[in-house]
Amino acid sequence: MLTFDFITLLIYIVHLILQILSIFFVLCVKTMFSVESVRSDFPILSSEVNGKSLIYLDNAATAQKPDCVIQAVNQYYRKENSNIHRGVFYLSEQATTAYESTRDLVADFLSAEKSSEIIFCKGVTEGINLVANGFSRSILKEGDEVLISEMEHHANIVPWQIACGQTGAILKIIPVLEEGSLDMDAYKSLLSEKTKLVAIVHVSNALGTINPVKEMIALAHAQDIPVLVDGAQSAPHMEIDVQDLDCDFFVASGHKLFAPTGVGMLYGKESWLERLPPYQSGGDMIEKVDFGGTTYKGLPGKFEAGTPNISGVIGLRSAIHYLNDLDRFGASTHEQSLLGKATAALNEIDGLRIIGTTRNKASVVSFVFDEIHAHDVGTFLDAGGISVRTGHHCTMPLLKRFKVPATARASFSFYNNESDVNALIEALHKMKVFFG
Amino acid sequence: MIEDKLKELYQEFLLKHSKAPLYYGKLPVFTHHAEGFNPICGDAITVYLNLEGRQIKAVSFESASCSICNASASMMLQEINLKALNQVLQYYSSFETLLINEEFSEEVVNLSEEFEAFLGLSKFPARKACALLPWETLKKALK
Ligand SMILES: Cc1ncc(COP(=O)(O)O)c(C=O)c1O
Repeated sequence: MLTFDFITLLIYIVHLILQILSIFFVLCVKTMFSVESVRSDFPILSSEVNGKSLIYLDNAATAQKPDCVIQAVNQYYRKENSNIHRGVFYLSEQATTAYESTRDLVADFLSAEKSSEIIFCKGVTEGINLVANGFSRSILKEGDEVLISEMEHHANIVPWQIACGQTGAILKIIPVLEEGSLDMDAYKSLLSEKTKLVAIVHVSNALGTINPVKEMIALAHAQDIPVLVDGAQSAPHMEIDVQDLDCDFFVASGHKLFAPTGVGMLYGKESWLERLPPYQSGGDMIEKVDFGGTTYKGLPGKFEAGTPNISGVIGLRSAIHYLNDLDRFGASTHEQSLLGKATAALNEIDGLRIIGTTRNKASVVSFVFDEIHAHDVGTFLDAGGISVRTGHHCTMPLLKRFKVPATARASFSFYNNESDVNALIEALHKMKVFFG
Repeated sequence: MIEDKLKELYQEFLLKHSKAPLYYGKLPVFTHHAEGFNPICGDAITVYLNLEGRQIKAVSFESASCSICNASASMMLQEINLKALNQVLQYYSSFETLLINEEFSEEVVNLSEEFEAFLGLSKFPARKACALLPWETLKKALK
């Protein structure tokens, strides 16, 4: 009894010390999160739409860019532009160093073991296509199964439909429950020796649901099934540790991570990337070209054919530095508080229904009105300077499952503030009167 | 300003047509029908027509669409019901012209005056596709 109390006390003291240290760390190394201070980092937030100051609530579609990212791209074109992995001259070496050091930075950002496990690509769509293409050419056979869920973005559906179409493999679907979470019992029973890959969204862009991917990966690995995680919506909201998740592939888009459009990252475990054939081919991905036969580069070059989006990668580097300097715990606490406030206020509105009500959610909220179509909601809000997304959010099977043709979706980033939430709610009340 | 533009867009009878659209529901008997879909916003509509020769005898539609699309469908069917097919195609091109030119000019006078309401769309170009969807679906049904 006594020893038990002693251990509890010891744990408590250690915990306290750690907490004090972490606060100290935040104070010394990073500045504690303050929404007004981060807002000033994003130039677009001080612009106007329809004569009203911009209230940007479409962060799940793409995030705004901090000034440092805009400057980095600008600087690259003004002073550093040249191609990489080619010239021996000064600028090219500079560009190559900047490009390759970003790979190291991304590896750290995702807690990957090796930089060579990071492949730059256009974004999640291209990353998934790369893997799907490799699987259809070298892994999938007739009768095999690929398992995805009912809440996938089209980017994690269509490439697998095509891969299955080409190989005779079968696409299996994990159903979504009424509150917007995955049916885990169904998942367990869908895993079998036929399953060659599970491809699953980490955070749903349409519902906000955070899926228990770590648990899902463990279940799949117990049967030697690899797992691809679509991190388009998780990477902007939470810290990612691919080794802790133990996923085999992880994809994210730069533009949702405060970096430019057209650049993204694919993480793949070395053993898997070695196994898959090249995706695109041409310059840069080769070791030696001869009409008698060509040999390819090793990782990561094998998957990066042609001149890549160098300025995008430079912008991504700056975005990751920005995130690394941010108090991400504070930022995510702030996002969760916005989500909580918005959810409570939306629930007060008559005739409004939130789609996706599970407890574990990122700061995304989708809703429909009984009487007013989402598209009309979008136009009305836009007139007040409020940008929300309306439509099917590239998740048509999911909307079909909820029997709605479209939803309006507000998605919050850490630079949104309470007055953004209030403006949204006020405008929706006004809209009800307007269409009433 | 922008509120006025909104009011212009959602003129009274546009709202009326979308809340209580005419010809809503599936025709018990029809010779032609087609489904239309706008992948950007998720508007979906089905248009049903009953033709005798080149003459429209009955019309209807069903939809899961926004107010602009529903109102447009309701007004379109009111306009084309009991008309001959060649007239219907003229209406179609008049309506297209109205949306493109953004004025109720000589070229479109065969449309009834009610259609002036769609001029409100000029400030909301993204919504023109919603107004056009019923007409495109009509054309598809007649193919
Ligand atoms: C969950 C999810 N997956 C994939 C994508 C596709 O990302 P991208 O268009 O950047 O390739 C998105 C973007 O909307 C998304 O939200």
